[in-house]
Amino acid sequence: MFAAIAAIALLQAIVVLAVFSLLIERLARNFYAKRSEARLKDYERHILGLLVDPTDIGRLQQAVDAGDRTFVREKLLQQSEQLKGIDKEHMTDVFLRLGFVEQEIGALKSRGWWRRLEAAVNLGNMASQDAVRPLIDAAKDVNEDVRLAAVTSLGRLGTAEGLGVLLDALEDGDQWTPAKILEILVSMGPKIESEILRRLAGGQSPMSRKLYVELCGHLRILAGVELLQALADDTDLRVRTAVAQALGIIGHDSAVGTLNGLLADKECLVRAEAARALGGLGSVETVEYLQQALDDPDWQVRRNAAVSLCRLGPAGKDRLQAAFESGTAQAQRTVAHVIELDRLGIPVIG
Amino acid sequence: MARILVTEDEPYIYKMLEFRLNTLGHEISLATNGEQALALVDSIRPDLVLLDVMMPVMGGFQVLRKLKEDDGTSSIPVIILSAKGQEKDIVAGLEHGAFDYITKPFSFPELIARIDRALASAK
Repeated sequence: MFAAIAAIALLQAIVVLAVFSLLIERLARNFYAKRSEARLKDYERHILGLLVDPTDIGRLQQAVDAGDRTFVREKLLQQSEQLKGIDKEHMTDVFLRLGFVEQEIGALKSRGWWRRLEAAVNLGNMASQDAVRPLIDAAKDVNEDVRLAAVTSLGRLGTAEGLGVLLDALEDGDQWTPAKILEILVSMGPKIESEILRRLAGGQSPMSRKLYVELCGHLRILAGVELLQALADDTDLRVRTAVAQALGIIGHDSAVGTLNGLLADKECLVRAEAARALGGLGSVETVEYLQQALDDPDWQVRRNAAVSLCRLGPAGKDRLQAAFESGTAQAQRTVAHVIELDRLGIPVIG
Repeated sequence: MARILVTEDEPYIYKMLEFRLNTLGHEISLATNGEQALALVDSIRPDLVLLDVMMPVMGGFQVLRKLKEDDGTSSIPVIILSAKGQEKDIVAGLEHGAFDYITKPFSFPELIARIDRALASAK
C-alpha cells in the first residue's frame, strides 16, 4: 500500500517536473527568439541607414564579428540589388569594408559548386572591380552554372577585361549557350559598341562574323551600318541573313539599297530576311522593291514582302491591292491572305 | 512636407523608400496592389503617387488610367517606378499620363530630384 502511494507520488512529481521544464524551455526560447528578432531588426535599421550615411558601418561590423555575418550579407545584397549610381557605389564600399568581397572571392574556390555559384552571383551584385580577375578565372569553372554566373557578373561589372572574356565565350560555341551570352552583352548597352565594331571588322570565322553582325543589330549600332553593308556579299549564307536582319533592326534609310540587293540573293533565306527588314525601315522608297518581291519563287519571301508592304501603311497597301487585282497567281494568293488578316484587324506577322 | 503614396508589392523596396523619404520629412503610405492604391488615394488624397507597374490584383497602368480619368485625382502627379525599362514601356507609361518614369534599379538622389520636381509642378 505504502509502495503504491509512493509510486503515484513519484509519478506525479515526474509529470510536474516535466511540465515545468517544458514551460521553462518555451519561455527561454521565446526570450531568445525575441532578442534575436530585435537584434536582426536593429541590423536592418542600420542597413537602411546606409542610404543616408554610408560610412556608418560600426554596428554592422559588430554584427559580423558577433557571427551574424550571413544575415547582414543577405540584407546588404537585397538592398544593393535595387540600387544604382552613387548609392550602388556606396554599397560596394560597404561590402569591401566589411570583408564580404574578399569572402566571396574566396568562396569561388569552394568545393561545393552551389557555393561557388552563389559567390559568382553575389560578386556581380557587390560590383567591386576587385572581383574581375577571380570572376575571369571562375568563367573557366568545371560547372556550367558557375561559368554562366561568372560571365553574367562580369557583364554587370562592365570592364574591358570582362568584356573580352564574354566575347571570347560568345565565339566559343562549345562551352556556352550563345543566346545567353548575347543577352548579357546586349544588357551592357552602348559602352561595348566600339569593341563590337573592332571585332566585326576583323571577324575571321563566318560564325564570329555572324555573331558580331547580330550584336550590331541587337545593340542598334548606327556606326556599324557601313560595316554591315560591306558584309552583304559575304560568302556565308548565315552572315548575309544576319546582315539583312541587323539592318532591319537598326532601321537606317541608307540600308535601302543594300537590302534591295539582298532581295536578289541566290538564297531564299537571305531574300526572305531582306523582305522583312525593308518593312522595318518604314520608308516608302522600299515600296517598288517589295512589290517586285511579291513575284519571288519562294513563298516566304513573297509573304514577308506582303507583310512589309502592309506595315508601310497606305502607300504599301495600295500596292498590295494592285497585286491582288492584277498580279501573278502566286502573288495574288499571298496578298489575299495578308489583306484579309489586315481587314479583320489581326496583327500581320511575316 | 508631402504625403506620398507608395504602391509597391516588394517589401524590401517599400522599406527602403519609406526609410529614405521619411528622413526627408515626407509622410509615406503603402499600397501593395492596385485596388488598395485606388482606395488609399480616395482616403488620404496624397500629394504624389509612386507607382509600380507589375502588381497583383490590378496593374499599375490600370491604376494610372483610373486616376487620370477621375477629375478629383487627375491632378495628382504619378511617378512610375518599374523594373520594366524598355523604350515601349516608358512611352506607354508617359502616354498613360505619368509625370515621370524611373526604372529599377534606381538611385535615391535621382528619385528625390524627380519627386521634388513633380511636387513643385503640382503646386
